[in-house]
Amino acid sequence: MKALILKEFKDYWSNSFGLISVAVLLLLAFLFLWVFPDSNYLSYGLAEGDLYFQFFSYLLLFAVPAYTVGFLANEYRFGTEELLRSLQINWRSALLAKFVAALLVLLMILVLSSTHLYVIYKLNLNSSTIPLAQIIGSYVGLIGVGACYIAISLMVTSFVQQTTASFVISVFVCFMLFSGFNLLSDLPVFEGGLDFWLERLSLSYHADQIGRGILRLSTLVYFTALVIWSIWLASFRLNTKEV
Amino acid sequence: MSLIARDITKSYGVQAVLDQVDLSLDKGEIVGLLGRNGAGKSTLLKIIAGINRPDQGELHMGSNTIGYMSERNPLYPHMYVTEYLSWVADMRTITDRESRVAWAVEKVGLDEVKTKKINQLSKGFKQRVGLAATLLSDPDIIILDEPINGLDPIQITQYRTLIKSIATDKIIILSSHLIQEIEALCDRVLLLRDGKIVEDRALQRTGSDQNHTIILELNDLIDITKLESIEGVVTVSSAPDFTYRLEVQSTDDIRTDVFDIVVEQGLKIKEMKMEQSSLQQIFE
Repeated sequence: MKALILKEFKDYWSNSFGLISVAVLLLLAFLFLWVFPDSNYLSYGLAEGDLYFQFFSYLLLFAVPAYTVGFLANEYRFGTEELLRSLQINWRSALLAKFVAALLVLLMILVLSSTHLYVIYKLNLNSSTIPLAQIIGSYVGLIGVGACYIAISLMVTSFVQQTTASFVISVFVCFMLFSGFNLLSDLPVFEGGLDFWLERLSLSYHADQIGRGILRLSTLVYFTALVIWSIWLASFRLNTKEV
Repeated sequence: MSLIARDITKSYGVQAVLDQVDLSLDKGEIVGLLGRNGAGKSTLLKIIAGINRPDQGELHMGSNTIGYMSERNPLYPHMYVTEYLSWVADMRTITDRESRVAWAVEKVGLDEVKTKKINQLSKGFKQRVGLAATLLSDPDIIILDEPINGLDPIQITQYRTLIKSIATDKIIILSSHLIQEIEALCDRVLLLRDGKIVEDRALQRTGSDQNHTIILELNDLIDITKLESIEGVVTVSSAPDFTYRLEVQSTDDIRTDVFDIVVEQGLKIKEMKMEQSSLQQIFE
């Protein structure tokens, strides 16, 4: 398992795509948070982490599927799907390795981008202390959401071999899970009935709860179940697929 | 050590690819799977390698291990040669990884490129990397699907030498749609047509088919049992014009034995010729 994870992680950085995509993400973050009018911190006027976490929730919606589909799509591209089978590697292990490697990439992106957060709080004139508990909570929520995006992207790619198509579908499914259900819950037709459950089906609801320091068992179960179910479905699909 | 397949059947949708294939292979054999494109060769090899499952039928190979190199020879192009082989060794949980990788590198002649990235290698060297990865775990059964595809004549010769050198205590199954390749390398050929094995015959490893026919034209009748008693003669058939057809399965040239018997019977030979029942004829 360790060898598989290391290989996947090294694979990601072994070509220019890995470095370029992370560099572009960080540049985008810089532009949105500091340069572009309306979305930057100077227009926002408050030196708090909310804008940063809100921005990253949406950035990851595109970024995570963009780099995660490659973890599986490259196996199709190079024909190494057959190699993994011939080495008798269990698909569940291979997918878990890809999941962990993609999660490590996500963590690296978040660590690298945390400088923005540091600067934001240093600009805060009202307080010199950094609200660590709040930041950690928001990061946990963001990582949870990112983990779900990764698992969903792997699951979608196991069904759709074409890279662009699997990226588009992954973004759609991730969007629906992040805020699609939340938006649906606002429809009058669901008022007083399904709206409660639809809201709880959205990742943004659970991420917000964690950001506010509320970690419910239901949130943990929801994130974990979504990841496990997606990996299981992908593994089932790949195990039953003929090459 | 043996590999036995019984009643292997496989379909993709409504298209039957393999139809009740039976085969039995023994240690030390280099078996060629010959057939046109789409005959079912790769499907059969993938089933033997455990990559795909048959719809019906069973495989018995005891505790024998399998090494498989597919037609596409999939490799991770950005990895270095030794890095890739070490990773394969890890995946196969080979304990003495370093020494096995060094052995495989030396065995297939990868020394000069072992520090290079796979995407920098020629097709021939990539094939060698694939073979090295296949040999790493010292498998009992080695399956090579179209192993010489894309190789130049020199590389093909080197590849043949390599395969022969590892064949002594293993079962090697290789597929090809090239008759001369099978004849040059294999002890035995299985001809696959429309998902069925239509021919299973032994070959000389020197490159020629040991099955042949002797056509003999005499001046009178001969006692057929005398001809049948010659070692290697499988059947003798006769025609009213004193023409005899001897189906022979032997690596020896038995024409002198035939000549001696004819003279012993007091007969004269009008004509005697030998025809190779070549794979090409069967293949066509």
